[in-house]
Order: sequence, then C-alpha cells, then structure tokens
Amino acid sequence: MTHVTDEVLAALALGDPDVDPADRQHAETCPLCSEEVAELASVHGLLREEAGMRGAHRVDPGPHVWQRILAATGDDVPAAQEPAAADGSTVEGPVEPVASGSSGPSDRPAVPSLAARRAGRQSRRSWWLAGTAAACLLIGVLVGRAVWAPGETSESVVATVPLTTLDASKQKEGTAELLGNQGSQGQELRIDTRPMSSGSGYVEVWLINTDGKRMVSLGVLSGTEATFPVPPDALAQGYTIVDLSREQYDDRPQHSGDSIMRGTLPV
Amino acid sequence: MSRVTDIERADTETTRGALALAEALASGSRDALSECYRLWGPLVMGIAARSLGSRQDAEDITQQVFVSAWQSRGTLRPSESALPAWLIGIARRRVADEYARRARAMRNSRAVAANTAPGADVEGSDAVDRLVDRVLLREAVDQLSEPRRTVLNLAYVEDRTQEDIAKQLDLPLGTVKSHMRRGLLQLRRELLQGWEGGDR
Repeated sequence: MTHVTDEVLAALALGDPDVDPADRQHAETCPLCSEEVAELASVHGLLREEAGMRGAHRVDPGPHVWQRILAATGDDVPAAQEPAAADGSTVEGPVEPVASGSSGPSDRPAVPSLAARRAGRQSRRSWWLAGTAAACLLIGVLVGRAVWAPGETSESVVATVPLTTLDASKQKEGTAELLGNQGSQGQELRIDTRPMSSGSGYVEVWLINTDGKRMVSLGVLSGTEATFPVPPDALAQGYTIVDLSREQYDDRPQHSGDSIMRGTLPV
Repeated sequence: MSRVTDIERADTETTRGALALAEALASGSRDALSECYRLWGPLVMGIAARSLGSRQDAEDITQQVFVSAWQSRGTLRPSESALPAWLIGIARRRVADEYARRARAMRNSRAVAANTAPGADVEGSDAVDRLVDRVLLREAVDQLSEPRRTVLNLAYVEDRTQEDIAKQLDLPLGTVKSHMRRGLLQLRRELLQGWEGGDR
C-alpha cells in the first residue's frame, strides 16, 4: 500500500482516534511512516512541555549588550543607529562606553553602567577563579606528593597531572606540571616521562583543545624531561589536554594520531 | 504589549526583506548587523537566558553570537530563511560551549583529584537542543496565521479539547482538527529550518 498522507501522519501523532484503521496499520508497520509519526509526536510533545512555560521566549537584552557588540566589532557605527536607542544614550567608541543609568530620559529602569557591571563580574569571577586556582593548587600539590617525594613540588607549580596511556588500562607513563602563576603570562609546562621508544621518528608535545579539533604543538621531547613555554591564554581558550604523540619524519606536520599518553590540566 | 508589536514588526520585515538583509550583512553592512540585532537579538537572548538560567551569562552569549556573526559574515549564504537559522545555529553552539565549559570546570577538578583523564564530551547538549527547540516552537507558533495560531494556543497553552476550541471559535470540528494537523506539520518544517544553520 502507498504511504499515508501528511495529514494522517499528523493525526496519528496527535493521537486522533478517528484515523482509518488501514492507514493506522500501514503507519505502524511502515518504517518511513512510523518515523514521520514519531518526529511529529516529538514536536507535539515539545509543544506540550513548552505550554507549562509562561515566561517570555523573547527577552530584551538591554541597550548595554548592543554597546558591547559595537565595542567588540569596531566603532564606526554612529550612535543614532543603535537599534534599541530609545534612551538616547551614546556610544563612546571602541573602548568600554561609560554608559550610565542616569543618561537619557529614564522612563525605563536604569541599566547598571557597563563599568559597574564589569566590576561586579570581575569581582565575582576573580573570586571564583581564585577559589578554583587554590583548589587546583591544592589538588596539584596532593597529586604531586603522591607522585614524587614530598618537598619536591616548588612553589610555582600551579598544577600537576598524570599522563596516562589512552587505552583502558590508563597506565601512568609520565607527569605534566604547569609552572607559573595561574592567569598570568609566562606559564610553562614541564613534561617528565618514563623512557619510551619513538621508533624511527620523534615525540612531539601538544596542547589539544577540549573542542577536540584545535591543537597547538609545544615542541619536541627528546629524552624524558623537558620544559615548554605555554602560549599565553591557551589554557583559558580551552587548550588543556596535554598530549604526547609519536611522529615520523614525513610531509605531515600535523598530529599523527598516534598518541602515547595524555593528561588534562585543570582550567 | 511591546513584545507583540516587536514580533509583528519582525514578521512583516523578515518576510519582506530577509534576503536583502542577509545579502547586506554578508557584504559587511553595519546597518544590517544592527537590524539583525533588532529583529533577532531578543530571540537569541531568550534562548540563552532559558538555557543558562543566568541573565549575565545570557547577555554574554548574546554578545558573542552577534560578534561572531559579524566576524563570520563571509560564511553566510544569503537566502530568505538563512539569517535566523544561521544566528540560531551560532547561538546553539555558544550555549553548548558554555554547558561544556561548566561541565568541564566541574569534571576537571574532580578528575584531577581522582587521577583519571576526562574525555571531551558535551554533556547536556540534548537538553540544550530541546530548550532551543521549544523556544523556536514558541516563535513559530506566534508566526502562524490566524485562526491557526489561536487554535494551537488554545490546545497547547490552555490545554483545551478540540471540541471546546471549535465551540469557542465557532468553527466546524473538522476545521479545528485540520488546523491542528497542518499546524503541527508546519511547525516541524520551521523547526527543521532552525537546524539548517547547523554548521558555520
């Protein structure tokens, strides 16, 4: 039999009892039609779920968000073109505009100034970061202690992570130490591994982004111990997975895909 | 309700000038960016706010989406439906990134302590998708023509039976059923369109 019409598919998804039995039977046994019904039923389900949400699905971001977008994309748009320019506030330029709640007619609730917002954010963030950094440091020290002799961890060690094989055994083959102050430039990564064979090639050290796509090469590891500078901001950008790979002298400068060990630095 | 007029304005203008707007943005017009923000900024913000539960994070995401849209405007392939789908695609990814970042922040501190290497994954991405879909459905229902919009609103928001709706709107029951079915089909199409902005 031929496929049922879209309207019948929708009726089935809506649980309409009056659907022709032959149509119903077809839709239940035909893989294509039953897939369609399931898809429509999920839209139906989402609509029912959403019915409980009384909140608006459109939310006014407020004029300061547009000002931040302007600041981040350049400053060549006159303030008159600000889409939400109902309050007549002006855009000062590419630097953070000194928006103030008192500028312009105030028939709308005062928006906190960008500076105040920034300040608020930063204090919240830095508090949070400080907490995390302290926790990481503590964990780093604890792991470090477990790994090496006590006292060998220097004050500048921000974090220590084990480097393990990628197979299920997760055998520990080495250690990566992040040196320097968290959040500042000039961080370094010290790699310390068991002796390993690189065959006819060499071992390369990478920082892989947690998005699984981007990576930076830190350099070549000869021997079992070396320290590499970490590009500024790399960790904040998500390049937190330390990876050692076996590379050949070939025409492919990118990662060979042959990872020997990995570890993930705390953010 | 200013929201209603906003949507209606968005409605007429998106159908009229969506292609021209997409072309203008792709060719680097700041006016076009401003117009996009006016039309879809609240929608992007709504998606972010709903997904992240924090106004500040939602504002950050909204900012990122439009900055990113500006920076990658060269990748936009202008068509009548391209712009909102494209912006929503960017919003989806930014929200998913933020979810992943939050999950990672939690997991990393645990993982280091537990001496295990965390794998890269995107926990909660399905939850994000559902939330985004629901917001898009709200938007799509609002854009249905009458009386379909009212029929669906009565059925879903007010949970009324089809017989009830027929009586209230003074429509034959068959017409109400037909609006429900076609409405559902139409909403599915809209939702699928919202997914077209999948990759950048």
